[in-house]
Amino acid sequence: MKIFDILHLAALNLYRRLGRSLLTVIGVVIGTTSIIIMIAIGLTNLAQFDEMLQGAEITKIQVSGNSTDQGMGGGRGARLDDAAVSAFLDIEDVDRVVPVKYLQAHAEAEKYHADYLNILAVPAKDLPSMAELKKGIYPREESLMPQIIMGMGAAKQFIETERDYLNRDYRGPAFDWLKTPIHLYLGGRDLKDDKDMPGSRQYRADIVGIIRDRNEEYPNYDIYMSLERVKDIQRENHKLVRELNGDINSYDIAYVYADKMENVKTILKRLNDYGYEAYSDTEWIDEMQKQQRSQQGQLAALGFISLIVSAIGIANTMMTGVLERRREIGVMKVVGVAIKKIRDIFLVEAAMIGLLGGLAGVLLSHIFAYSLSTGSEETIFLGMYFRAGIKMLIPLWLDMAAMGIAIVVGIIAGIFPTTKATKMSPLEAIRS
Amino acid sequence: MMDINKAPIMNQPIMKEPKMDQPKIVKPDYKEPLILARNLTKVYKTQKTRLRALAAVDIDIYQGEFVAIVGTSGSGKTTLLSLLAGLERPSAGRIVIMGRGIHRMTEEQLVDFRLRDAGFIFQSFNLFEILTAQENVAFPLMARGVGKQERMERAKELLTRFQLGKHLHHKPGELSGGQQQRVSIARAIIGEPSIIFADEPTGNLDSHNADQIIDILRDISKSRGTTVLMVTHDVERATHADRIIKIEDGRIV
Ligand SMILES: Nc1ncnc2c1ncn2[C@@H]1O[C@H](COP(=O)(O)OP(=O)(O)O)[C@@H](O)[C@H]1O
Ligand SMILES: [Mg+2]
Repeated sequence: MKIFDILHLAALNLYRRLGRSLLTVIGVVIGTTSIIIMIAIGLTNLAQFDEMLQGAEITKIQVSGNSTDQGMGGGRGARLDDAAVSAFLDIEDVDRVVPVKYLQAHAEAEKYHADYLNILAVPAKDLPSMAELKKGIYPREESLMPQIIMGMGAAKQFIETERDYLNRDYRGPAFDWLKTPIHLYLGGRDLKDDKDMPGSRQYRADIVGIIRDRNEEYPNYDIYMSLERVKDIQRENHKLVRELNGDINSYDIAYVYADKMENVKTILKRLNDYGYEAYSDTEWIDEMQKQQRSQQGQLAALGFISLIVSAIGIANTMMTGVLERRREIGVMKVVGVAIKKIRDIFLVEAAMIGLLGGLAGVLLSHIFAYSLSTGSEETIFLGMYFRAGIKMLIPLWLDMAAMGIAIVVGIIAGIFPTTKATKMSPLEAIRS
Repeated sequence: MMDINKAPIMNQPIMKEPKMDQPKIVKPDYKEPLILARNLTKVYKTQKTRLRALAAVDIDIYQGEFVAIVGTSGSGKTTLLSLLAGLERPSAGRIVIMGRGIHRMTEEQLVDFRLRDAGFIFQSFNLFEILTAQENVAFPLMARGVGKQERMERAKELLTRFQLGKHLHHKPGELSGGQQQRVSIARAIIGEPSIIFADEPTGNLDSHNADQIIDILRDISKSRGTTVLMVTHDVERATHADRIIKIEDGRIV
């Protein structure tokens, strides 16, 4: 029997028993589609996770001092000062240490005033790593006047009347901030009216840069200044600083950067040994990765289960199909068709079902993927977190693999009943 | 209706010169039995019982004979035919057809034997339901690797001779019993076998169609020298055969 005849017979069988063929094909379609969708969801989740890891500063450790407990004779070594910073730098595998001071200030700009501004004081050379600019430049270490960079959230703090506070849509004054000098005072606005406190000097400050907000919804409310300049200002107002329990020479937090993610753990431990509270995203990422892996595992299991279920479905249909056709197989043997050829006819049929079902499954998956896509909002689907929505990616290799699986499953499901049926004696087969 | 006595098949050979390229078997001397069976025994084993369907049967059948095997239902006719044709293996005994030991053949050799030397006709026709009459008849040639155009042409010729020229593209379900049996005879002889095994070919037919089938078989035997082995419980029609073998409870009487 020629190969073409085998193909033709198999196709004829599928075509002339259309109802049953379609039923089997549907089983394959469901199996293929669920495998593709499961894996595609997993891939999307994985891709977004990797993207998120890239955004995270995985080598950064945040160390908090105990500046307020200080006076109460707090813990040894808990003070975050220059000595601590250089001690941190001496820890093995530490690349860089950035000390940060938090201060409160109030300011005026033309007829607007901001009552409570948070100032982060960071060494001038480290400012670029702390905030990305939308426009302008970073403060220089030596400048005539204090230089500031701020986010548009801070700009909203400048109000004309108290009513602006209540207005949700208030965006702040329509200044060109880079050309509008402000007057800055140490401490919150309430200090101004407190006759018992020493008053702050007035500083004319220039806004030299605007911080790029990561997210329009949550603008940056911080104001950054160079640490060197802030220390000068504190010195010039040392009485006030002392009244506020502040300490010119200590920092509120410090960022310690490890050279590699793997070293973060040991550095954290050293910092804790020194008596500091230290925290790193790495711990959280570790946890996330574990969770991620288990979710991926669950997806793979789901895909596998749907594969098995559809394989059983195909096997079942093939089995009943072959059993129903035992007589036909017997007649073929009687007519003189070799067993191998009979098996070929049935396996080609099974492979065709796999191919058709696989093709339709791939098509259906792409339709699903398209309609399941949820834009780019945060989404939770099947217990998985999608930072930028489900945009299902179905790579070509997945299409190919799913088709291959469908065909192989079809063939494997066909082998068993066919082998069994061809083993019967022709008479037995015809009598059944 | 077709009158078999005036049908063209009576007066001319059914087949043209064989077109197959495999060597035609040298027909043995008429005196030598074409089919020879000795001590042929078949025991069916089921879970509880052992049933002896055939008990030490000896048979000689010569080339060109039209032999009828008759007996009541359950006497072992189908069993005998199936053993002779290699459709089932004997429990004991040997079968030699054209000098070859059927009982010793592998499954593969049996398939080849049936492909080249045997044609089958059944009571229930056993046509392929999804194939047309023409495709059914051409099937054995397809199994031999004959090209589509040639095999379809020859199937058409045969069917036309059997008065089925208008039913080439009908499926078995669309044909009457007599028509189906003629299709199945055409399928049995298209490969020009040396022997035709027919198991109750008239069993499902009315008497008119039954007569017609017997006539066709007889004609095949006479005009082509094909050996025809026919099982039937119809003693009356069996008289049209050259020889009648009677079987009772698995024994020849
Ligand atoms: N596969 C089988 N298993 C068990 N018993 C069988 C089987 N085939 C036939 N028989 C028995 O063998 C006997 C002969 O059967 P068979 O040759 O079909 O008779 P016939 O064709 O003359 O009617 C019967 O009693 C039948 O029941
Ligand atoms: Mg019978």
